[in-house]
Amino acid sequence: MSEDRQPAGPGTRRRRVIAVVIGLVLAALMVAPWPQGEYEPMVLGVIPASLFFWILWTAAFVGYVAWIAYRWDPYAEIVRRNSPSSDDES
Amino acid sequence: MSVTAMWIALCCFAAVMVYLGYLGHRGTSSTMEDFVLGSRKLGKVPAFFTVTATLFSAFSYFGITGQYYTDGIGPWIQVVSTAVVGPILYFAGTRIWLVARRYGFVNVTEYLSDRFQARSVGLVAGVIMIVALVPYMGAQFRGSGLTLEAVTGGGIPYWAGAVFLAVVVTLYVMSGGFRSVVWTDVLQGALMYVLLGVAMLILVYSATGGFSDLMDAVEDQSAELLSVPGPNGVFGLPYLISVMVIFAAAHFTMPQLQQRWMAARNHSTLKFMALSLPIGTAIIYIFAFFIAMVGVVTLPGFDAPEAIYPTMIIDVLPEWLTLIAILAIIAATGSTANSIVLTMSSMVAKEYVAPVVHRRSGGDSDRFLTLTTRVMLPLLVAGGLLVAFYGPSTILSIILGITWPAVFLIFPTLMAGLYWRRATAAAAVASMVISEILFLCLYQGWISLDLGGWNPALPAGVVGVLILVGGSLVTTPPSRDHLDRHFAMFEDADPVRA
Repeated sequence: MSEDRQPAGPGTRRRRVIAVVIGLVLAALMVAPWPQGEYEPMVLGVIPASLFFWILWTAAFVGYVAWIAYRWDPYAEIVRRNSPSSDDES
Repeated sequence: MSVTAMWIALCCFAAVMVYLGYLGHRGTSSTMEDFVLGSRKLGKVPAFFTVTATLFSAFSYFGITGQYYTDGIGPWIQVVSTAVVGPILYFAGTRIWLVARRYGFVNVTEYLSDRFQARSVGLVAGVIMIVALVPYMGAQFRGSGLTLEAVTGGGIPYWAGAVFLAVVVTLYVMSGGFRSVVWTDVLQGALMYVLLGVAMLILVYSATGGFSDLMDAVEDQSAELLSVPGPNGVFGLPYLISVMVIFAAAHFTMPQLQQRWMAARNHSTLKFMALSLPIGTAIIYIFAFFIAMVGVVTLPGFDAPEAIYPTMIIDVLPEWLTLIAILAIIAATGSTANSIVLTMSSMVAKEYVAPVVHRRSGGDSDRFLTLTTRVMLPLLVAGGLLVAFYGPSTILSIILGITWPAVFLIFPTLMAGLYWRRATAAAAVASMVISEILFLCLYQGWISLDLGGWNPALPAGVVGVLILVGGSLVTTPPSRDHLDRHFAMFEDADPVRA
C-alpha cells in the first residue's frame, strides 16, 4: 500500500491506468447495459435477465469504488497529514 | 380516509419532529459551523439516512414508480448515476472536505468565493442554486398539500397541507439547525425505507401470488417493459448517458449534499457515503420497481402513472397502515425541504449578508451570522410557499427538467477550482452564466436545434467548459500565495496530478 502514496512510482502509475480502464469499462456497461432485449430467463424467478445484469454491473462499479476507497486509498497519506486529530484518521 | 384520523396522525408526526428538533437544539451552540454543519461530526449511520432522505422527495418515488410503470426498467439509470458519484466523492470530495475543514467553509459558494478570490463566483453560483432550489422546495410543500387533499377527499384542503409542512419544517430547523435536520432525517429516512418495503410486500402478495407470479404476468402482458429502451423507446443511449453524467455531477454539486460531505466526521465517513449512497438508492429503486409492476398487472392503462403508488396503497393497505404510509410520504417531502432551506439560509447569510455587515461594522460576528441564518429560514420557506400557491400547475415538470441541469452547469467551475490552479474568477462567472443561458434557450426551444435525444444541459456544459478553459488562459488567476492555501496540501503526493 505504501507504494501507492508515492507520486510517480511505476506501481502507482500502473494502478492508476488499471483503475481508469476498469472504471471506463464498467461505466460503459452501466450506461449501455449488456445484454438487453433479453428479459428471459427470469433470474431466481423474480428479476428479468436485462435488469439482473444491469444491477450486476452497477454492483461491480460500487465494488470498484470500494477498491479505490479502501484498498488503493490514494488520499490516505494526505488526509493523515492534514487531519487535526486522530478523529480524522481514515 | 377519515379527516380526524389524518389530523391526529399529522399532529403526532409534528410533535415527534419538533421534539427531535428540540433534541438537536439542546446540543447546538450559536456558531455557524455548529448550526449549519453540526460541528462537522456527522457519523456513518446518520450520514446514510440524511443523504438518502435529502435526495429522495415524495416526488422521487411517485415519479420512479410512474416511470417504471410507463417505460419499464430504464429508471435504474438513476441508481447508476449515484454509483458514479462514488469516485467523484472520493477524489474531489476529499479535497473539498479537507479545505473546508481547514478554513471553516460551511457551504460550497463560500468555498468558490475563497478559491477564486472573488465574491462574484460565489454570488453567481449562489443565485443559480437559490433560483433552482426555492421552486424545488415549493414543490415539496405542494406535494404535501396535494397528497393530504387527495387522501382525505378534500377534507384537508390543499393550502392547509402545504402550510402544515412548512410550519413543522421551519420550527424544527430553526430550533436546532443541522443536528435537528439530521435527527429528523434519520427517522424520516427509516420510515421511507421500511414503509416502501412493507408496501411492496403487501402489494405483491395481495395482488398476485408472489414475485414469480407477478413477473410471469408482466412478461405475458408487457414484455417490452423488461428491457431498455422500453416500450416508448425513451431510454435510448443518448438519454442514458445524459442522465448518468448530469445527475452524477449534480448530486456531487448540490449545495445541500455538499454540506453533508463537508460535515463528515472523518475521511472514513466520507468514503462510507460514497458507497452507501448507491446502495440506499438501489433499495428504493428495487422496491419501486416491484410496486410499479403490480400496477402494470392490476391497473393496466392507468392514466395518471405518477399516482399509481398512492392509488394502490389506499385500495390495498389497512387504514392504520395507509395512515403511516401517507406520513412517510409527508416525511419524504419534509426531509428534502428541511435540508434545502437550511443550506439556502446559510448561503444567504454568508454570501449576501456577511459582506454588507462587514463593510458597515468592520466585522461579522459568528453569532450574528447564525442569527441571520435562523431569521432567513422562515423567509425562504415563505418563498417556497408562494411557489406552491402561485406557481404554474406544470411547475413539477419544469423543476425536474431544470433544477438538476442548472446545478450540473456549476460542476465544471467547482472541478476547475479544485484541480486547476490556472482557473480564474472571470472565466468561472462567464462559464456559469453563459452555459445556464444557453441551456435555458435550448430547453425552452428558443434556440431550435435537433439534439438527437441528448439533454440540452450536455452541449451547454461543453460550451461552459470551453469558456472556462479559454477564459482562464487569457485572464489572470489569483496570486500564487492565495492558491497555495488551496493546493499546497495536495501537491506532495497528489494522486491525480502526478
